[in-house]
Amino acid sequence: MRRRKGIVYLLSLLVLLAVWWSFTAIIPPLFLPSPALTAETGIHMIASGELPATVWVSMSRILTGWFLGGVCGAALGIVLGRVRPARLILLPVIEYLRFVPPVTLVSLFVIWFGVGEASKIVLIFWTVVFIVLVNTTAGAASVRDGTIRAARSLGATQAQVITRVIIPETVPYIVTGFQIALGNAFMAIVAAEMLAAQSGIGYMIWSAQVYAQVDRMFVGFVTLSLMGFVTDRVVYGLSRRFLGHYRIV
Amino acid sequence: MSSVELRNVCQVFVDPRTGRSTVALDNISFAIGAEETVALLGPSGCGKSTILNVIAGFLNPSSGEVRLDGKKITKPGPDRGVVFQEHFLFHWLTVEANVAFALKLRGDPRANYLPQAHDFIRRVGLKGFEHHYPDELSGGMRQRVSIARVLINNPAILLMDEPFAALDAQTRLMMQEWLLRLWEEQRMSMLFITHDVDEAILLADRIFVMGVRPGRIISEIDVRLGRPRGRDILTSPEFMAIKSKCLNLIAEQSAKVFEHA
Repeated sequence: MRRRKGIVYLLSLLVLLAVWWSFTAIIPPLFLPSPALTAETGIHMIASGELPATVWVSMSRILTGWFLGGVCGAALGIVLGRVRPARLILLPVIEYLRFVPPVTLVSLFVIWFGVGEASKIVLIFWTVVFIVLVNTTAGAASVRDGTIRAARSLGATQAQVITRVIIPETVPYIVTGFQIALGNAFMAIVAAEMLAAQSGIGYMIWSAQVYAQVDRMFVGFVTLSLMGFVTDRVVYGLSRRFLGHYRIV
Repeated sequence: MSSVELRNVCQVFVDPRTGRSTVALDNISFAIGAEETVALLGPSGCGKSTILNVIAGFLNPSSGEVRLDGKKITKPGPDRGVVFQEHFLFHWLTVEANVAFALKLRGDPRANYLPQAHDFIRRVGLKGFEHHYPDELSGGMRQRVSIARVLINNPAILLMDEPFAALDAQTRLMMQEWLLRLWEEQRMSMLFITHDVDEAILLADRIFVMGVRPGRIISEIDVRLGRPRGRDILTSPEFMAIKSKCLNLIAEQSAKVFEHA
């Protein structure tokens, strides 16, 4: 079963490559580099150390912001899901703020937090926090009274109900929130690096465009999708491995 | 010595939108003795579960009080073991961890809670299933786990809210006989809520038949059937006599509900 899934993955990738290749037969490499040319450029960039360094810069921004935003979103979500007054007061504010697209905030965050790493991490934080928050709130609010009553009558204090019932029941929602937010974090970081950075994968693509180095741009695209795919699979695998009994999907 | 005592318990629910109030329980008083099983029998909506929720401490009565061994009840606690119609097990924990849950809350060390959990798992006949998850068990097995989960607290009384109602008829009878055997071993007090007349007679020493609107106890029936009991008494003349008495009382109440519906 697992092996068959692997074969399907590989096949769909081959189809994509074939389509790409066939287009390069009619479109000149100045506009669309072939897979071979892209691979060649990529290998050069890996050998020079440029690509690994770029990937590292972007990944550390994404992972830091994603982790911080996710943890804060989950913690706040538990509170909002279980404390009615907090939900009534904060949810309208959150409903407004979460529709401000992160890209529009890039310049503002540069003014507020400087051109360094902080502004990028805050941007990822902003992107991630609402997604995990909304998911966690829904999960925490859906814990059934019966489960809480069972725990209470077994001797659990209010605090123990939260740590031993509410949080475990909410784990699948938190994990889903983290997974969805990861995709958004990739989009946000590339936008930020294209607009206001001197390093990272977004900056690399943007500067390649300035010099009309389309092959370098394609290396960027391929690298980005690989980074996203691998990170998502790692997150999925780890949550399966360590949180498998919490009914994660 | 009586373990649980209700004194003039009234429960009034007020609809927050319409402001209309409903009297769910009207002046309920009774006591359940040590080792005694009392069944609350009545049509749905008569307030059976409300009585259980008040004793469990999930609800505070509008007036009157509940005492457990003389002490007033104000909140849920491990001295009363509650078993619901749905099992409400912790699905992310194994059978072993579910049964040990109460002891782990108190911070018991593993060396203490593990042998105790295994002992109770054996007593409810689930030896070998310690490391299974609730999702992997049948309905009857899940209910036995939820009973073991409360028995480990050595509660003064077991409060059972239609625990076998969701099981199929064959499994239900097996579970009833199993509970009778468990009682012979543990001698716990029980309040058993049901709308199944056979179940009430088979398990209880006394049956309180409840009436509707407002919820109150309209009749108390002594079940003078010897113990240990088994399925054979289900067809005995004494059983039949009690059954017809119960059915008549319930029919009156159901007719009342039917007319108003």
